[in-house]
Amino acid sequence: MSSSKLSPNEVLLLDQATLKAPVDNLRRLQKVTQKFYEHNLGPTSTFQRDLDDVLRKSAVASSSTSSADTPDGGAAQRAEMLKTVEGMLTKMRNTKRKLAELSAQSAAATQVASARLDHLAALPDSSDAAGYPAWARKRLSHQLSDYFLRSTPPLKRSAAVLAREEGIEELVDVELWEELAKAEKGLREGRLEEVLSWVGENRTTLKKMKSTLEFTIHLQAYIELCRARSLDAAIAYVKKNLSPVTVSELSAGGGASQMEELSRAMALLAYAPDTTCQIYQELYSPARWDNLLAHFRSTFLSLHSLPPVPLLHMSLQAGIASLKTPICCPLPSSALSTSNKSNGNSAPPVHPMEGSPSAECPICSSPLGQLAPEVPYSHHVNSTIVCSISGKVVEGDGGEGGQLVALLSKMTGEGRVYSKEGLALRASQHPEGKLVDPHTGEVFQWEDMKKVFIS
Amino acid sequence: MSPAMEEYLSTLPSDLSLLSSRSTAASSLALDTVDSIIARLELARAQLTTPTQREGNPGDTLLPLSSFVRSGNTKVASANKEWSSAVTRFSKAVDKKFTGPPQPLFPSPPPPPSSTTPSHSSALDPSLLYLTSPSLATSTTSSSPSPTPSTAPFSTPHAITSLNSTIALHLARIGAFDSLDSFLSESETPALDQHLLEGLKELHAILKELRQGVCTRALQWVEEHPEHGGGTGAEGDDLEFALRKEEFIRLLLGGSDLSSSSSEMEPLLPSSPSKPSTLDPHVHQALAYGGQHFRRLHTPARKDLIAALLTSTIYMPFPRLLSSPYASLYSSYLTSPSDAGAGAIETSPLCATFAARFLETLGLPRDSALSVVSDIGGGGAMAKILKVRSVMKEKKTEWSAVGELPVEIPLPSTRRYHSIFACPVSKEQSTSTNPPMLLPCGHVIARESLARLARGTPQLKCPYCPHVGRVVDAVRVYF
Repeated sequence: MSSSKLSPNEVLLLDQATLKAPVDNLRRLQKVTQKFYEHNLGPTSTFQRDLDDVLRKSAVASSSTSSADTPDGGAAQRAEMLKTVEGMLTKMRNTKRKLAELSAQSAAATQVASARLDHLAALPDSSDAAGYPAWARKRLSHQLSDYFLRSTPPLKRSAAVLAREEGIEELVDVELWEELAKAEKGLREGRLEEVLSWVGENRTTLKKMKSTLEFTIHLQAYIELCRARSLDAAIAYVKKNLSPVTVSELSAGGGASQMEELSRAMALLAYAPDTTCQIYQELYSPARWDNLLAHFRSTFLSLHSLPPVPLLHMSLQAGIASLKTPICCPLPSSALSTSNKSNGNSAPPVHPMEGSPSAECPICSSPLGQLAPEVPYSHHVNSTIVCSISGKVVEGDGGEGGQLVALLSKMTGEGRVYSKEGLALRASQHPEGKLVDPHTGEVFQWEDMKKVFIS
Repeated sequence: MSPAMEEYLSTLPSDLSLLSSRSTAASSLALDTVDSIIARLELARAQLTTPTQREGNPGDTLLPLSSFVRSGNTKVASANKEWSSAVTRFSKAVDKKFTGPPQPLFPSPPPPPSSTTPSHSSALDPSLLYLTSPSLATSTTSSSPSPTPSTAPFSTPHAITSLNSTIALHLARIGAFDSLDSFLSESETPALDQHLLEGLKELHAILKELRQGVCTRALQWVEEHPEHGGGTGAEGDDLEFALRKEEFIRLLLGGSDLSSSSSEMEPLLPSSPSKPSTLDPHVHQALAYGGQHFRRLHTPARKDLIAALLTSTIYMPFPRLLSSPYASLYSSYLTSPSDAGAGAIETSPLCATFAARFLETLGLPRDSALSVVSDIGGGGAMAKILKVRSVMKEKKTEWSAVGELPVEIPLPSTRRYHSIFACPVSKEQSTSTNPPMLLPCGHVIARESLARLARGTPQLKCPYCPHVGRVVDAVRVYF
């Protein structure tokens, strides 16, 4: 079973967001630069107005000099013109400075995009390739930093140190996570300003996603006004931010259910926070803030093409499930009883297995085994025989790992299978060079070995 | 870039470079335009500050500015437009290639029967819903895409602790000790075992030296740990021998200029070694070292290599060595003037062997658990699981996280740790109630298959070879 081939489609599943943030940044910078230029030099700019102004004055001045000598008036004109020209110069110098800044930012953003593209492109086509371990290490470090930054509270310092130590600064979107942390901090402290300002910056995309986040935020703001019993302000707020038109704009399917929710919430004008009516108690419930926080986080992540759970968790889930056997992680008693029930075809039955934990197996020998109960067991339709002496996979007769042989006990009538090479190694270490079954301690003759074929 | 990758990335690299050049062009055009405006304004100001009109009329200076700005604006606008279209093009290519984050891998475990999920609420009359619980309505309408913390994987305190301690060990194993310190304090993860941490620090210090071609500390460690230097038989001895060989070569080449430029020297004929180069103290040193250690490590398998190493010294200095019959022993030590990593390629398998042996003494497996598992997960397993999930979803067969994966994930043989016997007849995994049975011919099938094939008769023809034997001769085996 050759599995060393790496297909970019499969391997880059968790790197979908790699170019997303750089692209957004590049697009933003292009727009900002263009707008900035137009604002400062376009036909409607102050600069144009000043230029027209000074040209008019100069025309007046030259015509007046030709007609009559009025040195004082001419000097005054010139002084005014000078003032305007100097103002224009200052403005242009500032424009130049800002343009140079923007240009440097664009160059940096392009650099980030191209570094990331290079990182993706460096994925070799086989996990046996010399470059793969380094690539995989970089990817894992990136996943670790993603996990660090998603933690509550975010492990910012660790992420920064790791990025530096592992040289992955260009793969980590620090600003993106800062944005998330800032808005979440606000929500946790009961403020909506930060999250609303984020919503404002991303309104178009949110609309495309049919997100109801903004509606939920405004509703919460209204509830807070009701909680404070500022009823006039509450009504004004609804009129301003939650009119039927706005609600339908802020909602996925025409906003019917949002209108429903809003009309229910309108009753809070009559019900104070100390109400004993359960429906309204729940609208006042602080748990709504937790939901809002979760809603914001999931919206934020999906807007940036990031999965709702850490990248690390996804690769670990898949990896643990690929490795997990009932030896690494004993079958829960419930799984044994339910696996044959009527919902049976939902999950293949799990087989109890014979064998003992292995020190090399990451599920048996590391704390990762503690995560294993959350994922399914691996599934096998093909045999894999690992020699318990050499720890190597024995493919069969003479192939990789050598030949399988059985030692048949004369006492129990049962057999134990090992690789011939493993037994030979043990015998060579035995003081008398004897062939001993390492499991039972029974001594055998070389001709007692019986070849075993696994098809 | 691999051909598969080239096909995968398709136009992305060229789209990005187009974007890059257009962005540069637009930016510099805008800057140049502003620069020219500034120059003209400065001239006008100079004219305005001098009272005489000898320097020219500021009006004449400023008049062309108007049309210059107009034409400049047009040019900048068109450059910006090109830039913008390149951005759009690149961004479309990215969106087409990267379609979004993968779906969650495993459906959340079935909720306990007591808690009601709002999944069926849409079927209810909205007014009823209104009466039952507004918070449920809220969660379905406004926060449905949000994962509630309880269903997120590995989010129990116990799981987080386990994961964080795995991460801590991983950081120490890869030598990211600064990250480790910061992570331990920030995440409040208990510190690693002091002995283990010291050991890993020592390992990385030694590996750093090794990568620079210095074997002193590695050899010292091997001498201090003879049971591990040669612990598991022949392989262990090889570590010491490989290190001695490196050290021998280092001593020999100690005074040589390893840059390739010097090798352009006219090669000398092999006859010239008759004039012994014993004047070279490095050769002396190397031979003394070889005499001291190679004798002890001499085995039939190494005989030729040792002889070659010792004999090759007569071809010193280095440029001549490179044109000798022994050049292949030394070619990797030749550095191109640009890179300083002499022998880096040669020492990397040595580093790996040394690290494995060292980790063994610390009781650690060869590879970091986190690397192994995340590599398998990210290396294709996730894609295969997601694919089979979407197929099953189409067929309306859901599966839960309590059972088994519906598909076998191929693993490299170095990543298989447990014997699994699947009966070649029934394709079922063996269990203690349906154990593997060894037939007299050497083939193995499960006991239930054996009974089925024998159909109650005492005879059985092996399904994989012509052998016919007695059922009672089949032996239950353990792997």
